[in-house]
Amino acid sequence: MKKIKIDILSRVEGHGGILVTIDGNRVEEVKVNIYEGPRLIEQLLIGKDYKECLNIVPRICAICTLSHRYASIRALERALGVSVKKKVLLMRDLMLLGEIIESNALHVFVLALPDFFGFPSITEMLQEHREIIMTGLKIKEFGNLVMKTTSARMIHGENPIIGGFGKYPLNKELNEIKRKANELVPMAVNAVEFLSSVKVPNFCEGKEKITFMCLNSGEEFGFVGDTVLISRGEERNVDEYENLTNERVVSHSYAKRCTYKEKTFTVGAIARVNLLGERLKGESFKYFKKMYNSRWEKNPLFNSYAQLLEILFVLEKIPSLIDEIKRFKNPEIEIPEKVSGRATGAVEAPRGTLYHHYDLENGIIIKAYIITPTDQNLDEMERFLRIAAENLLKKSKKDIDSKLEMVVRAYDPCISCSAHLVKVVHK
Amino acid sequence: MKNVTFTKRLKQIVDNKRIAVVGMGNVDRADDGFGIKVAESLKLEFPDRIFIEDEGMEGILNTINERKDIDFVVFVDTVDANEKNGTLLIIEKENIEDIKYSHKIPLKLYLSLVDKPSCIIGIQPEQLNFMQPVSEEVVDGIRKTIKMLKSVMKDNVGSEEKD
Repeated sequence: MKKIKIDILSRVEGHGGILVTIDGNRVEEVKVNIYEGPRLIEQLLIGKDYKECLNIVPRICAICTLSHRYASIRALERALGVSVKKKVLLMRDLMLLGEIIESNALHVFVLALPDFFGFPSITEMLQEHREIIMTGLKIKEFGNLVMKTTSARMIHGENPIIGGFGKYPLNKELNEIKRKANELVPMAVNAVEFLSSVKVPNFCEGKEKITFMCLNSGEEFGFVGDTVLISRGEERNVDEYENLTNERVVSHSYAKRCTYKEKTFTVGAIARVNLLGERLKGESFKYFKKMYNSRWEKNPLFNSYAQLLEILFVLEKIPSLIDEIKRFKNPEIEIPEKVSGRATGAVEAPRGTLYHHYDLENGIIIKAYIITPTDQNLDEMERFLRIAAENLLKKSKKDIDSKLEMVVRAYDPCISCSAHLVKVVHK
Repeated sequence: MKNVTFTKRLKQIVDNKRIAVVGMGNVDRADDGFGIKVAESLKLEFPDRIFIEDEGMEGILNTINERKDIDFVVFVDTVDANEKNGTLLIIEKENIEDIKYSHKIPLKLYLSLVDKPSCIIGIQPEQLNFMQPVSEEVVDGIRKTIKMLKSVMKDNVGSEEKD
């Protein structure tokens, strides 16, 4: 029988690549290119009623659909002076935790693990490490369940709205989530133990500490806040999002770039764990203390470890969060009294800080500005690709392509599953 | 492939095992809706044995692995095999060459994650453009695949579903 090669044909959600130009043993140029055409979502919002916003912005991403929805709700509620009840905030926390766990599990177990174990893909890795991958899929399935229960659909759920939720889950649905979270904690602990036994390569380790940014979630580790923490003790309000990111256009990519004080910076799980790790609790805190060291401040490959610690934190957090949610009655939806205003809302999406800003006049959006985590990380990816390429060239050119891909994948960008990510040109 | 031959071969591969069908693809991209449309149609008659990708693959695979009343899994999807448009294919697990990561998790991975014997029913698409109609050849393939899978399922799980 003839052998058949199956190429994957559809569900394309991102096109990107890397071009590294090497002259002899010198890295001449590093470019991360995003080929996916601009979708002009911000422009699409102009002139629309603010109520339509929540139907449009989550479509930016099917993975981070709820993060976009939540950031948009936060901005719109601030602009319109809407204050919601405690139960609404707790339910929103739960839905975001579902998305964090789902997205982190996909990256750690499906996309990143083969890099650490030297397999070309998860398919080959399955033969030797089936149990750990099946654990990852169970955790991801759980994330899907939380997202579906809170938002009413697994992807692009419409249940979270301005002023509250369209409907609230039944206690038996919440109890089921709690039961499954408790069941998964020991599996996540095993996964952390498993990954902590792997030595993280140092080929992309910088000499300087990385500048990290994430939202200040308050006393506890978390994913929502109104101020941004920056390495070395700075703290700024999210309203200063333009000065925090300084977005600019580059000629070689459709995605914008960001810098802070003219330097590149990193957002995402590694930023959160570096800045807020001391606020973790339970087993996740125990493993943070065990695993964390100064290399986490200089090497983006630790992002997968940070994501795994977040998974463990979320699984431990959800049961108590559900107990708290059940204490409150289902509140009425708060209706905005204002129709004009301007505000910024931000949440920690799985890949990092996500900003939404809107100006509204008489209920109509007149300005919309959205800054995504991957945009913020792109300059930093180029910086670490250069570090990696220079270090690798000093030793051996063997496997340079796959190692550079590993650097980009570490950031968990939306293009991380692109085929042929790296193109190395030797002059 | 002739209809009769196709059905006969599928029956040989399935070998009277109690099957589940997983429909995969994207209905917004023309012929890529093949697997989903086949599964949606069959779900009416075999609600407990038909799974659709949009329900979440992790959950589907875990459920299939845990269910004792499923012995064989048929994945239905669009495949590029350099065949004539609309050509139907049965691809057994051992005949899938390795494929690289792309934007979608490789089918081979799904087959590897299922603890049970499995195969793919694939169709060569004509077009995969966004919001375009399904080609005539693939519409014909959908009709034939539904008929053939119904025949196989009625033979090995039909009575069980009715009990």
